[in-house]
Order: sequence, then structure tokens, then C-alpha cells
Amino acid sequence: MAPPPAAPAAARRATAAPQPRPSTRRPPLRVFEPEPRRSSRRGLSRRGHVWVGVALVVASLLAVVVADAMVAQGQVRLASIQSKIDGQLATQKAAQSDVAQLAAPARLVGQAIAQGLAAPAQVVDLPQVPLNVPLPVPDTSPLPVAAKPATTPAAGTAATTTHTAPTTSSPAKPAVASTPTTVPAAR
Amino acid sequence: MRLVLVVVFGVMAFRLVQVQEFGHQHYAALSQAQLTQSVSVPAVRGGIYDRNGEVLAETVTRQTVVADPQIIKNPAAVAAALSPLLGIPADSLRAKLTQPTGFVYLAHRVPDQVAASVTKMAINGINLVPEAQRVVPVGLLAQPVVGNVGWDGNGTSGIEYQYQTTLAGKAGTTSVLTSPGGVALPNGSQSIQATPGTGLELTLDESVQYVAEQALAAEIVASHATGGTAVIMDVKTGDVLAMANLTATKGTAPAAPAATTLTAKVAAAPITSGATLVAQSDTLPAGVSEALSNSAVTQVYEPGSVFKLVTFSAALADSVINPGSTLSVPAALPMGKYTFHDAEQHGTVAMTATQILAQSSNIGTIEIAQGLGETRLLNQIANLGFGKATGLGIPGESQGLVPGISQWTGTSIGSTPIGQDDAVTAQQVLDAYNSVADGGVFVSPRLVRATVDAKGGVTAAGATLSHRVIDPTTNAELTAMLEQVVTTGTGTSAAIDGYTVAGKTGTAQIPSPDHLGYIPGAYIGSFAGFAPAQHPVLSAIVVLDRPTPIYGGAVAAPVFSTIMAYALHHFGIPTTAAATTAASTSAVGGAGSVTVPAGAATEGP
Repeated sequence: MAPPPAAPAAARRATAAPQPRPSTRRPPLRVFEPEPRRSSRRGLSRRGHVWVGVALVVASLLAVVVADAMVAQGQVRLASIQSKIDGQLATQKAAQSDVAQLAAPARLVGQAIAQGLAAPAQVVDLPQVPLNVPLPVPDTSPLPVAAKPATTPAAGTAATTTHTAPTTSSPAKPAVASTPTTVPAAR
Repeated sequence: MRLVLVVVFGVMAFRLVQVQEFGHQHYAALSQAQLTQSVSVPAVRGGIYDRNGEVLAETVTRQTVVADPQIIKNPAAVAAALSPLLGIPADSLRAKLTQPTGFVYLAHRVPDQVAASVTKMAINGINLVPEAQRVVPVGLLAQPVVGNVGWDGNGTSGIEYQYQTTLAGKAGTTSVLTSPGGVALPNGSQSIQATPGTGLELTLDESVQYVAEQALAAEIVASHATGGTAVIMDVKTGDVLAMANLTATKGTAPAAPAATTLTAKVAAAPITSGATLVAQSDTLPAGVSEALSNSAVTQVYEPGSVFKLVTFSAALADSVINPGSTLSVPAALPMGKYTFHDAEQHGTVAMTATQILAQSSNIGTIEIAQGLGETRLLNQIANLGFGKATGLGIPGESQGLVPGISQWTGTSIGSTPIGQDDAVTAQQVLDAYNSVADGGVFVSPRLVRATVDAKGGVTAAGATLSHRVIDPTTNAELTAMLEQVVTTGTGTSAAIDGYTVAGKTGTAQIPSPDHLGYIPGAYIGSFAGFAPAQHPVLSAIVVLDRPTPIYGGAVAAPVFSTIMAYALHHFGIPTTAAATTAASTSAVGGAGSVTVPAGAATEGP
């Protein structure tokens, strides 16, 4: 620290009165820290960074938690759907088995017999009618009063591969070949 | 002191390296085992279907009732509540519910309605766990072929056993990480999905199988036979369309084994909580039941006259005879210390080769075989598949017994050509006749035509092997001769209206198991053949064990006719007259010819 400046001579005389000697003790020296330069902008920025960082961490954690919850929820939903699928498949299998049981030949035959159906003694093949041969013209003339109606052969009396229509008026037509069309035998 | 420290730390370092470097996998596995609980997830067993997709056996999931006795507060009340529902005595249930354990089975595989009722009761400590059950919705139809599964769900017989690996699939596992206290940790489970078993589509046709069994059963009852077998086959593909194996259970038949009785009881029950649920639809006549095994391939017998096919095919091929060759057939033919006779006594007569076959003359056949020679005869026996497995691979299948040349005796040239000395299976005989039906080409039979994956996708099995065993000219001559058996010979009962049939009867004695010779009065009657004779589509064999009357032409041929007639109509095979007329019409009129559909038997209506 610099000493105080010396007073002028007139002033020294006018004031000849003795003055107390200034204390030789020097005031205690103090160290003044230079006042930091206040930069409010930088302070605010740093604080903001901290807050943003914290917010990011919290948000990330929250996102992870939410994502985990969503995944868990999806897994639960998936398990539920899988369980439903398994249940439906089991139901489908059981239904398929029930259908097979109902359609078993033994049951069908039993039902048929119960309803009065009977296995044919013989299988009669129906005649084949080729497309290139014209069909016989049906006899549309009225029957004589006394005449008996045309009889059909008794079922099961013959297994024929050809036959003539009982009411046809053109017996000269050649017999036609039978077809693969067959009356299936009893199951 | 310093040395001690060095040694101690050295030992510790060594142990550390040993544990961390060389043993870490072992200890990691131990840790994993302590923390992980693995549960096996059984695979769903594949189904078995007929050629039209009809279910023959299938696995469904049923609910099993289990209990945790440690949770149940009042066992007596719970037992009383569940007893009528489960059909188990309350005392028995109470005994289970008071056991000092945390898990006990109460009822396996209960019906769905019972499971629903148990769920509705909501008893604390009573739970349901899924369990697989094999269901046979068609009753015992074709049971010796399809087979059974045991309590563990594994096949024990038939196709179920033969294709165990294919049907079973691969079990999966679910591993759950648990806390030291045994509590499952969230998100700590790992699952290896079970691979469902692959289903099988058999070549069998449910309807034909049913008719075959019914016709065979009726004849077993009528002829007081002890059992019988009937097999019908697609000529071209070798597909076995029906394979009936029946046994008599009363009358002249031996007593049914316990297992058969058990099966019958199971069949009669509407619901069975065992491994297999058999539908109550078995309508075989009283006294007849399904055989315990697939007799068509496991049971051997002396074939008798159906075996003459071998002799005649070889003799025709080697020009030893032709269909019109005339031979002098004496009343008896002494050979060594034996004398051979025909079934019907006659004097010395002149017979053509066709007549010898049609009338099934033993002496005439032996004369032809003598001209043929033993080596050629044995070669033809092997060519036609006798003495070898059929290729079906059925468990317990017999290859038959065909004595080699070194085992022949002085009378073998007399007995072998007429179907004595050799032991064959019904399927082997049918394979031989099928070869003639197929124009001289031997086709291996097959029972599985496709596999069915879990999503229902069907993958066709490969075609069976085939090879020529009879030249076409010989085969045509042989077919015509076999046709004469049905039109004028011993097999007239096999005739089918509208179709030509070719085949051969067989009546063979049954060798005695106790001594050399045969069981007095015990015969096997059989008929093997195919239809339509000119354009064969189906071949079949019927074998009856100890029938009365004994003759194959009297007991087996009518069954053949019934089964074959149904099958021909079932598969839409044109009558012989229709095919012939249509063919001639087409030749005149220029329309497309009608031929017997070669694959008709593979395409159901």
C-alpha cells in the first residue's frame, strides 16, 4: 500500500499545535479477494445442464420402466392368447374326435338299421346311356283300360348291367353299356 | 514363517485357479441347477387317419384332477363333494386328501363336463392339470393294425409302436429361475417348445375295413372257425385297403386271453379314464373279437393249394406246360414212404394244366413240379416273396419258413409244390397273387401312404418298390387259368356278379406242434385272388382257421366275394361287361375308350 501524500508548509505551520503522533501501528492488513466476475449466464447454463441431465436420467429410467411394463404386459397378453389358442385347439381336437365317433361305420350301420334300412341282397348296376345315342322316345299313348301297369323287377332279383326301360316303345334299341354308376353296398 | 505363508497362499492360489479357471463350468451348472426348475412339456402325439382322413386314433387334451392336501382344510367334506362327480368312493378320496404331501392325483383325464363341474366348485386346493389322452373314435376297428398306447403315452403295439418316434414328437421344457426360497422369479422363465408328433395317414379305408371285418366275423361264426384274416390290396400301388384280424372267443375257439377281455370291457365302457379312450362302436358278432396281433403278417401257416400259383407260374414260364397241356393224372402218387392223393378220389384221368389248377389236383401239380425241378421251384418261391419280410415292417412280422435245398427230403418235391412244408403269412400269399394281378410285377405292400404335420399338411410317402417276377405272356396265361378256378373250378363261390374274378382256393392241414405230422381234423381254408380279372384293380385274401366245412372254396371264397364286391362298388370300378362294351363302342364310335382306372382304388368316392 502507498503512504499518504505530505501536507504543504503553510498548513504545517498553522497547525503547529502538537498533534498526537500517529500511531506507528499499522492497521492490520487485509487481503481482499478479488471479487469474482459474476457471469449469470454461465451460472444459469451450468445449472440448466444439471437439471437437464437429471431430467434425462429420470426420464430414461421412467422410459425403461414403462418399456419393461409394456413388454411384460405384452408377454401376459401373448400368454393369454397362446392359452386361448391351446384351448381352442383342444376343443377342435375333441370335436374332431366326436365327429369321427359319430361317423364311425359301425354307428352309421346301426343307425341305418334302426331307421329300417336294410343292406341290399344284390347290387343292381344302373344302365349307362351314351351321349351319342338318342334316348328312346317315351310311350305317351294311354294304356288300355284292362292292361296292367308295367311292372318293375323286384329289387334284388337280378344284378344286371343292361336293361330296357319297361315303358319304352322302341325295343329295337341296342342294349347300352352300363356305367360305373353303382349303388353302393351297405357300409 | 515366511515359507509357511508362501505355501498357504500358494495353495490358495492354486485352488483359486482350479475353481475359477478349470471348474467354473461345473460350479456354474450346480448353481444353475439350484436356481432353476425345469418342467418337461410333453409333445402332442400325432394322429392316425385312414386314407380318406377319417380319424382312427387321435390324442386330445383332457383334464386331470389333482389336489394339494396341505391346503385342504376339510378333507372329508371335499371328498364327499367330489366323490359323485369323479365316480370314486369318498373313502378313497379322503385317504388321498389326507396324505402328508403337497400333490396327489385324484382322477386322470376326466371328461370335459366333469372338469367343468370341478372348476365350478372352486374348492381351494383342488386343481386341474392338462393331460394327453389317446382316443379311438371308431372303436376297435382295425385295432390289431393300428395298435395301442400305454399309460405313458408310448405305442405298445401295431402302427402305434412301429412309428413311435414319428408319432411321439419331441417333448419341450420350461425352465424357471427361482429364488432360494423356491419362488419363481419374474421374467426368469425360458421355454423350449415341444415339437408335436407327426400324424400318419394309413392306406386303410375305414368302410372297406368295416365290411371286411363284418364279413369275416360272420363267416367265423357260421363256420365255427377259431379265427380269420382278410386283407384287400390295391393292385398297382400295393396299398393295403383293409386288414382284418379276428379271433373267436367262445364255442370251439380257445378262451380269449385276459388282455382281449380287458379290451372288450374298455370298448363297452362309454368313457375310460385310462391311456386310451375307445368309443363304444364295436359291433362284431358275439363270440368274435379283434385279434391280439396282426395275424396277417405275424401268423404263419401252410398255405395249401393257393401255393400252386408258384408251381404253375414257374412251369408256364419255363414252358414245362402250357394252359392246354394234357397230363395223365393217376388216382394216387406214391413218393418215398408217403402217397399223395387228390381231395376227390378218381381213377387215372387226363387233365389239362388248366383243369389241374381249376380242380386243384395235387397229383397233377406234383407231376408238373417234377418236370420243373426243385431248383427252379425254389427260385420262383423266392421270386414271389416267400421267405422274406413283406416290407411292411410291422413289429413281430414273420418272414415265414421256406426250407432250402439242403433241407429238402425225398418227398419235398411232392409236398412243396402243393403248399406243404412251407410256412407263409397271409400277406405273403396276397403279394404273390397281387403280382399276377399287376401283370407279373411284384409290388411291395404298404400301410402308410402319407405323413400329416401338426398344421395338417400332408406329405405323401414314397412309392413302394416293384420288380417284375413273371413275364407278361406267362402272366396272361396264368390269369386265364386262375379265372377258370372261379368259373368252373373249386372257387365258384368267389364269383361276383358283373365282374370277372381270378383266384385260387386253398385247404391246408395244420401241422402238429407236438409231433411230426398234422393235427387230425384241423384245417385252414383260404382263397386268394383279384378282380376284375381282365383289368385287375383289387386283390384280396381270406384265411379261416379251423373252419367247418374245411374247404377254402366253401368258407373263404364267399367272404372274398362279399368283401371284393363291396370294394369294387365302393371305389367305382366299372363292371367287366361295362368296360368291355364301352371299349368296343369306342372302337366303333370313335369315342374315348373306357379303361379301368388304374388308380381308382387310391381315389375314394
